[in-house]
Amino acid sequence: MRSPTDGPLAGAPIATRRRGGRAAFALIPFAILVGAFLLVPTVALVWGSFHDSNTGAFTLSNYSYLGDPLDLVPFRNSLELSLAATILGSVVGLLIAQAIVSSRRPIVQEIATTFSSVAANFAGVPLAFAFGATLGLNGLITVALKNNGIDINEGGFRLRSLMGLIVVYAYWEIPLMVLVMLPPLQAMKPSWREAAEILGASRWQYLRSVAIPILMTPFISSLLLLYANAFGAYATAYGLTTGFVSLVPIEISNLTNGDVSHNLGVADALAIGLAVIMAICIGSRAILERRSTRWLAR
Amino acid sequence: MSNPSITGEATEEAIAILPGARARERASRRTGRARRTPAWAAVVLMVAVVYFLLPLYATAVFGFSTGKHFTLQPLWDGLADDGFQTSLQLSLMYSIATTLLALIVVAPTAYLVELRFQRLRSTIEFLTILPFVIPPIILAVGLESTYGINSPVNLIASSWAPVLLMGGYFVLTLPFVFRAVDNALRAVDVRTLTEASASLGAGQMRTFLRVIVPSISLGLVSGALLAFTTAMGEFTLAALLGYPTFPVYLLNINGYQPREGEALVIVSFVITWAGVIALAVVARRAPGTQIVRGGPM
Repeated sequence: MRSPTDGPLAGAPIATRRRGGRAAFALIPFAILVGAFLLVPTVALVWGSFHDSNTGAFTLSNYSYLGDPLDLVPFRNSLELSLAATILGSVVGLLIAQAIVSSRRPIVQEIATTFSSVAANFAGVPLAFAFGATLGLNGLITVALKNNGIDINEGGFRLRSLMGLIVVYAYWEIPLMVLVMLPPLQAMKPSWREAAEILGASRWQYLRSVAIPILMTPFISSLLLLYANAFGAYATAYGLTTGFVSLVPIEISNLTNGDVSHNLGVADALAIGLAVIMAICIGSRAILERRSTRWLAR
Repeated sequence: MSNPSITGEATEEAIAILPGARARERASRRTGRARRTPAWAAVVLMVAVVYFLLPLYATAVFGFSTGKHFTLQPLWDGLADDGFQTSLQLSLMYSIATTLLALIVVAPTAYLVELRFQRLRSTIEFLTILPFVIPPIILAVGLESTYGINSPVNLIASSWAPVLLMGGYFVLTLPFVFRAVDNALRAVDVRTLTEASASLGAGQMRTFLRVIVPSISLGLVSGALLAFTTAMGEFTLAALLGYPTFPVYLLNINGYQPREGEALVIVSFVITWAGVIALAVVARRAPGTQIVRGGPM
């Protein structure tokens, strides 16, 4: 934070102002890296999505998936998977976060935070195989349940399916929810509740008029984060299904790397579609975040 | 539960100053609230712990056995495998290189933005959020389109290939590294430090290296840890652009040596765990440190 006495840029002493021109050179490496590996590839994506990858001619046909119900299946699958993983992750995550806050023990809060961080970071291929050992055809739980007369595979559960992916995605969505909801839950001051009680509010009235309005913004913001994270995830889905469940990230990789289906133009167009969804989530989140910091400032 | 005692001035202050947990603890002690953990919370937490340990336990059961008996043989076999060693070396190399690149490039940039180019702040912040909108899978296709086999600038098949992956990892880790460094910079009075240093006759470089860097060292460490763990676990870019790093090897070995594969999953988990614990230690000394990446993986 700058103190109010700090002058504007022009007020800087001569010693630091003199070399102002040279300081700009220090920004060049950053500009080159961001330009070469973020901006140029993004522009190339947009350009490639409007050009035939074989002939190089301008075309809109890469976007024909938007009008074809069959080609929209990966989007529908991704939407459903992300929605289910978000709902599961947010409900369970919120419950756990509140349990951590209610435990009233700093040590529990500290351990839980570290634990959640490990779990939220444990994703991708290793997580997929960990679940293979747990809920796969010969997984520990699968076999244990079968020995007790419950066959989850017969019951319709397959780990290498959308349903399986929901369970696996929840493994990092839940701790992520815990981590993003803990600070706002901890910031709820006991005095607010006491004030409400003194004024004769019931538990429900306190929730409805105080807690929920304050927590609504961070809650919706974390839903958007969870949703975007599930939608853009590739490593876990690929590790679990080796590309057999049709999701947007999986289709993109098949079109980029696949021998049969190789078509970079369509991959670019799908990637743009995915980027639009991510932008909606991240953009709305940034707007909400700006609003909530006003309320939950430390 | 209800305890309508009037919260005093001092308690209010304690709540305002201390971070959440401890403030509540103190507040509750002063107002005489019970410190007991409610039963429902204890049950929820225990179920959560079991749920999160189960996959790890199952992995260990598979990886540390040969059918029926406990043995660490699959682990030793997995570790002794040439493929594992080469891939881990490659991952370590890229992770260390990415970490150094990120710190060397981001730290001066963030410092100059804070000190002198405040006008650029919103642009830079936008650029550092952009990788969230462009998750690894999109970046991979973008890099493939720009520097792939079909591109006029074919980096993948040239000796510049390592630069391509490092550049990609620089972008992926940019949001975390920038935020870690920027938070640290904002916590110290960069302008006063710089002016004091300059008035004592230090040049800009010397000021940056001898004054600024030491005062933001915790931010640099947490940024480095975030960059390192991200690069160590990164699968998408490496797999799509064709770099045989450790996560890519892990996927392949599971196809033909599942027990070794599961044992190596535990190794991968230990790497993640070590990174997060290290971050937690840093976070304890520098509140506000981010210890989760929070991007699609």
